[in-house]
Amino acid sequence: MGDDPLTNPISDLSVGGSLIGKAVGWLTGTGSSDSAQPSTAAAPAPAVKPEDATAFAQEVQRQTANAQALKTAATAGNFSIHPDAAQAMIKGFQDAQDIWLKNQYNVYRLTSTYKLGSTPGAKVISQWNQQIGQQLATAYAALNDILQTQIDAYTQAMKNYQENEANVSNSLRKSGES
Amino acid sequence: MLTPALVIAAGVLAACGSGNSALPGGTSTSTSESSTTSDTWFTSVKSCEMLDQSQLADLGFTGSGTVNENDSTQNSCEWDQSQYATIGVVLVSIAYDQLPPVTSSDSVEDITIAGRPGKITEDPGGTCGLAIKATNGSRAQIIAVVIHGGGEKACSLAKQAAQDVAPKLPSLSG
Repeated sequence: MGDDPLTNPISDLSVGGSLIGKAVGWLTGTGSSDSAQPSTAAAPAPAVKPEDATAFAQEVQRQTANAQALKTAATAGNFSIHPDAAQAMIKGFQDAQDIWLKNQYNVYRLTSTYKLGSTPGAKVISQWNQQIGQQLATAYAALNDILQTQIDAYTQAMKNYQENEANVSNSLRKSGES
Repeated sequence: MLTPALVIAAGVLAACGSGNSALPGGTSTSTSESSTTSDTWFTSVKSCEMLDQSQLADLGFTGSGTVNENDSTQNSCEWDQSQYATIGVVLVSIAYDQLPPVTSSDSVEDITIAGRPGKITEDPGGTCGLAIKATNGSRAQIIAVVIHGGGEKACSLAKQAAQDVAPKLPSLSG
């Protein structure tokens, strides 16, 4: 996946895309990590370290800022894009939102129906899961906002392009009339 | 000529046809049966029939549901609507009051749906969890996630779905 957001609708979320997969793996306990967390046969702890969750949350924050900067630029008229390209990118972000939707549902379904039992060990794991899981869940929920901000930015950029085209056409017509 | 056995069978079938369609054999709502209902009553239920097509249409969904899991601890079905929402009915052998908050900043509040005690938790990120009591050790959980409208919209969907699901659960009386 390239780094240029103009060549791939999801590339702004090249980080975000991997973030989605990584977070879902962590939250559902299918992720990989070199961390050796305690586990029980009944409910293995998600293989994620606290620092992983923090890094994930920080990356989501960075992506949120990037998306907001793009939207600000578009709103100020400093970002425009051909409608065909904009539509393709918006479609890509909407597809990503649909992926987010299903994953958000499954993450919540699995985490809210986790049964760990009442042994002291299970309680420790439960608390650990709760802290890590909630930090990840909060950050994961924000991914939808990032996608929507990107959609808003490209929608505005498309309008900017169309307005620029109209202005150029008007200028040419007026200069031809004079 | 109808034999007594056929008359009884016809009566049983007629009773089964009146509601509780998602439950096997239209589980009776009588006190005597509900008092013995197992907390794993949902294992033989068709979870994707907990919401019918008309109810789903009212909720804004057009497609058929997908079973997530069906085992001794959980029987769940989800419906997805592109660019709108995902909603799921999760029948699970956990008491309704064990619903966790979505995130650490969320609170869990009491709610009553069709006379059943429940808990609801709303996430501003667009997720809502709602659990209503099915038996002492099981619940019907509605999970709604929306792309637009945030937790408030998600909980509005969840509440509406819970109203539809509640009559199909085992009776609480007894």
